[in-house]
Amino acid sequence: MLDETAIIKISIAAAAAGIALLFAAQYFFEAKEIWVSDVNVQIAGETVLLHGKVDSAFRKGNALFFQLNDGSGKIKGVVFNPDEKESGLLQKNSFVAVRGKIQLYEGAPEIVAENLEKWQ
Amino acid sequence: MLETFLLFILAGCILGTIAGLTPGLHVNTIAMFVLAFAAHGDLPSVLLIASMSVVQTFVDFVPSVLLGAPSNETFLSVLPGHRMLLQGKGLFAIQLTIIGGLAAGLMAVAAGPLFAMFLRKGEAFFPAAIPFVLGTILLMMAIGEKRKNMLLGIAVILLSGLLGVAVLRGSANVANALFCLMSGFFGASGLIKSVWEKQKLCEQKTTAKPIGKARAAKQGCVALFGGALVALMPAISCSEAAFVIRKIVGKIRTSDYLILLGGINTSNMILSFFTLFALGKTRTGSAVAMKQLLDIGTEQLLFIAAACLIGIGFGAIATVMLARAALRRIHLLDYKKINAAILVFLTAAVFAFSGTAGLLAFGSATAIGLLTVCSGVRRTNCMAFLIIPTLLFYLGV
Repeated sequence: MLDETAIIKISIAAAAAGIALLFAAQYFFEAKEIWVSDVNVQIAGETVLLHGKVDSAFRKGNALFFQLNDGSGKIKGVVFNPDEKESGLLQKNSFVAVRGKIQLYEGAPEIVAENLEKWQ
Repeated sequence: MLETFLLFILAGCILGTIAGLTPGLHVNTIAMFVLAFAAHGDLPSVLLIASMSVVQTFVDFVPSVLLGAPSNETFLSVLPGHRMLLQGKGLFAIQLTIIGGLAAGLMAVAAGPLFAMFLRKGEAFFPAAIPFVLGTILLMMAIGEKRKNMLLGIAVILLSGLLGVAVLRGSANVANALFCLMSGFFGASGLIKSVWEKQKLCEQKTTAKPIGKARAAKQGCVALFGGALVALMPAISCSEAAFVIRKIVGKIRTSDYLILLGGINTSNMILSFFTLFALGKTRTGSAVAMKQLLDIGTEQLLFIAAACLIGIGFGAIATVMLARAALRRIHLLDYKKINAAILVFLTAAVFAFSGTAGLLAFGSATAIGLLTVCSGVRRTNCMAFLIIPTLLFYLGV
């Protein structure tokens, strides 16, 4: 039977399950911080975190293309439908932290940015 | 990062409680504020909106049942909830809505991924069925009245429908139109009756009858079906879904109806997030805000599901505690004065949120609501204010 005590127990269990799911989601989807030189076709589909200097950036249609250089290597990247903040961050010679998914484009890995932050 | 997520979810839970307790303040309003301050791609803000929205679906029932001050989603609970309050069963009424929210909410989180797959396949079919369903419901409403009240019942349906069309689809351009109308039909008219009849509250029972797990699960499933119906059929509201189910099921116990109402609200809110994920389409104001903040992928959906689970837990416990605290002393207060004060507050809220045009719509809806109260015609006939405009929309009129 469901009385008030049972309601509270189920509620606490639901909230605990939510916190556990939050931990699990964080664990499974936490972006691995790697060097550009570590990016290869084997990690396509993984979400990673890269830091580096923007070598070049240009807009084409609804996408903003850029090249990131972290000293260990260079990688091409793209941001789809960038907002003002993202466009502002991706300026030539600016330093950024790029979180995104590695995808293959014409056989070469590139990063599809999901989040951009200024890197100081 | 996890601390930030938890902090935002907790903030969402508190904001949802405040929004739920304040008649006229909806999570959509708060979500728009969040939108103004959050950056694009801000997952913590999305989690705040998710938990806030889920918590409000629980807390909303406290003012609805205890004060007769409804929100857009809970106004159908005012009638059975108030009846139980007058019998000293206010706590039981609120607990029933919590049980519904808990059962259907948890089922919605679990069944969400399946629902998203189903949604992608059925997207084209379901809207086509809406006019048939709504037309049948209107007919059932009209012939469902007692013979002596049938003409008056049809008049109420037509008047409510006309008012709904004028306010919701006309050029009146009333802000928060739904709030104005449902406050009049289901809030003010009942409050005036309470003041007029000098209703007094008896001492409220401090224990509520336990509900069987099987019964709760059964009603939770029905509520989940209702929540899915709202997500599948654009322009159908939770109240319409509850109304449709009630008409389909036939005679339903008041207690089961309250479980159903609680369940539909919570499950619909959660399923609207899965709809956003599956189709990129929005069914609730909260989903609209989320869409503007973030592209929802599998990863984000997992975080949102976690925020929903925390919201369910927090919302249920907060509602139990708030209801207990309020009911402990409510019988000692002058209920007539409380009702009069809420009536004034509701009128002021309508004026503040919707201006003179809103006040006119509110007044007209109150008059039609009073007509049902005085004549004995079912007040649910006033639901035509939502059904007829929706029907016309789907008929392309």
